[in-house]
Amino acid sequence: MPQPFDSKRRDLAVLWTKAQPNVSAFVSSLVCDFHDAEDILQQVAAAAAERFDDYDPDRPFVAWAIGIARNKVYNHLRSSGRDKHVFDSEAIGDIAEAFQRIEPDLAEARAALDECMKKVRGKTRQVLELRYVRELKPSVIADKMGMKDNAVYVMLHRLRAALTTCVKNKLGRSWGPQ
Amino acid sequence: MKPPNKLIDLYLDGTLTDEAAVELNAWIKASPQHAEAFARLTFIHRRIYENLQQQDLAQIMQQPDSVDATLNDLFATEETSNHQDALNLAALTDRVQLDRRKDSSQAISVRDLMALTGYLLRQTLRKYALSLSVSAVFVVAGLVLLFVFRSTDPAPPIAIEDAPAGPPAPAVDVIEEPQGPGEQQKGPEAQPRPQPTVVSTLTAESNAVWDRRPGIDLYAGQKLTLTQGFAEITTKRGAVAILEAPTTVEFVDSPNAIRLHAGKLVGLCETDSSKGFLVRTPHTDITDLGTCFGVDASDPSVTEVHVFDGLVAVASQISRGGAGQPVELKGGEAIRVGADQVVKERFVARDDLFESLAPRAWLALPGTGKDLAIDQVDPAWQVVSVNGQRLETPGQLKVSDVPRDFRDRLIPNDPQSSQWVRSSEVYPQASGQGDVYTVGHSFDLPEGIEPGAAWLRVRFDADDRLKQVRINGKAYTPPVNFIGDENSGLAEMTIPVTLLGEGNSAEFDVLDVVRDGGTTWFLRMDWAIRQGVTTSIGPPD
Repeated sequence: MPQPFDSKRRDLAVLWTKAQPNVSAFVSSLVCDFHDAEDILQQVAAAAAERFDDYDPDRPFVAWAIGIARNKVYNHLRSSGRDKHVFDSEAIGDIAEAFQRIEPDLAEARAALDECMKKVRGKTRQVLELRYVRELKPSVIADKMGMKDNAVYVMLHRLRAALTTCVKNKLGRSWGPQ
Repeated sequence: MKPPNKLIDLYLDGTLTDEAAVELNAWIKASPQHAEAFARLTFIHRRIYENLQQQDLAQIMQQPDSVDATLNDLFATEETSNHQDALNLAALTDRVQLDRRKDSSQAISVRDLMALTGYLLRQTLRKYALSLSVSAVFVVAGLVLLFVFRSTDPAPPIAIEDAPAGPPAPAVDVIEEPQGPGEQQKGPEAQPRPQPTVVSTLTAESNAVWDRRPGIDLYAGQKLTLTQGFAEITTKRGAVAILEAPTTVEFVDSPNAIRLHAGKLVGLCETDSSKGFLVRTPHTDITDLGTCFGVDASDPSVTEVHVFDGLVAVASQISRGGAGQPVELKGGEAIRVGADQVVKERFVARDDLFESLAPRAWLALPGTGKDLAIDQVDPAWQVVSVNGQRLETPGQLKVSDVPRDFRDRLIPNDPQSSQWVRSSEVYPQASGQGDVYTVGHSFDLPEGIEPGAAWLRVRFDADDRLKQVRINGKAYTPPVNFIGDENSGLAEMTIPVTLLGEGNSAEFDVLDVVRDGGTTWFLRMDWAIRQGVTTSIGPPD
């Protein structure tokens, strides 16, 4: 017997609420422009709603949603041309599967990273804010901060590395490139 | 092939070459573990973005005129679990359906709702408002609403464009009086409020503690109290104000002005564009005409203006209203204006009242390993004690390549300023279980810096942690800026110091936190100095 309409709608809402951050992370891993990534996320949300009748509740919802996102991303990369030199479809597939495997860790990692971010202060935080809030390129940040380009690249690299280590320590297990 | 995490960083910063892209693509496909490593690091990248956008939005929302009140209300309800969010959302869609049935002319159309979704995705997901759950709700809103209405309204989602920014602030160097409460009211038909105007930038801090932590950009209407430490602010026109706690300032809608409600600052105008920098205290307007000056409004009954160099125009608020002419002060002159806005006294400026506020250009000091070859002993930097026990014979530090274990994340050597040095000696005072090594250095002031007040900017890098710095015996707290982990870290600190012409002592306590019994550790010290204001006008009275 088909589920009542409202029940299905609530199911979708709950499932998407849980999956959305991880789908967002997957999309952002392949689409560097944050705003493009958000546009694609919206497309994925719309497609998930349209195709929810096809969803098999015995399968993980996040895997299903990432599958939709994978196609959306691939189409975006192919049509935009901006990222066409980075990943081929096989690599995109590998990354999609990787996100499905690490999905159980992500909520905890997210909370850990938020804690770690509190440790970033002063000039390093300023550089981080220029990169992620103002979304400036490292060379522009270098001009603004009176730094050499390479120093900004190194600082960003080190910040990510340090934050990765911090998350790993808080989780008590491996995290990031080994 | 570059290290994979380096490749990923280049990718994330948009600077990956075609050749490196091929490498990265191949590396990801080579192993499921590689793909996972990529996923984890890009996840970190995404979450940094979300976290900072969230902070940024929270800050903007503290501005009374910066955020649409409706959104503010929506965000204020963020206290629920994801599940509850979803149920609330479902209830919302129920109400929407009900509205549609009751009065189609009043109902929210799918177009409107998807526009809301687009808007929230742009404004809320982009800003990642307040928490994950809230942003998720908005995505779900769009998703569910589309699900609900897709059969009845085929209109595609429409993204509402960002609210148009208000007209640019007039480029005038005056501070507008604040509007009364009634003037700030907006009718229900009011258009979206303009984005706040960035008028100044937070350019440096030292041990700074704020009542509300600001970001880099400082907005018109933003009022901040520095409760501890120092902060340097640069206006859009390039004037510099250095604040010393406790100080309360407010940023007004001008590219070259600041309101000093209480406290102390030093103003500096070294460029043509910054001339005309205006500081308004409760009693006076101080207009900088290309100079360096100090303002002390710590006492609510009086404002003091001390000019160290150049020319300043001081107008009491009475004279500003036409009752008097501004008073011009030259270097070495000072004035005191009372709460009745009458000039009480003119006297000789006292730079000692502002000696901790030191605006001057930075000059590099010789760092570790300067002008030396790899493996040479650095005679200027030595290990002088271990775990607090002074060594009879100081330990040597030799110039080193960047530590191999951290090579891809540490700043490379620059022989002209500083290089990595290493200690490989075995000290009987060390246990190998979290030892503290004190590195000592003696230095003279470089040409152009005179004895007295100065600021020291220290950039310390190590495979260990900087625990404490002592300059001429005075201890300074751990760095205001630290990024690292239990094994290594970069520390930056800017500290007000008092220095001699020759033979200044600097000591750095390095905590070898790796409790592995090892004896080799690395550090790099890169530092600079800039003069305090004391030399501008000679000794105080």
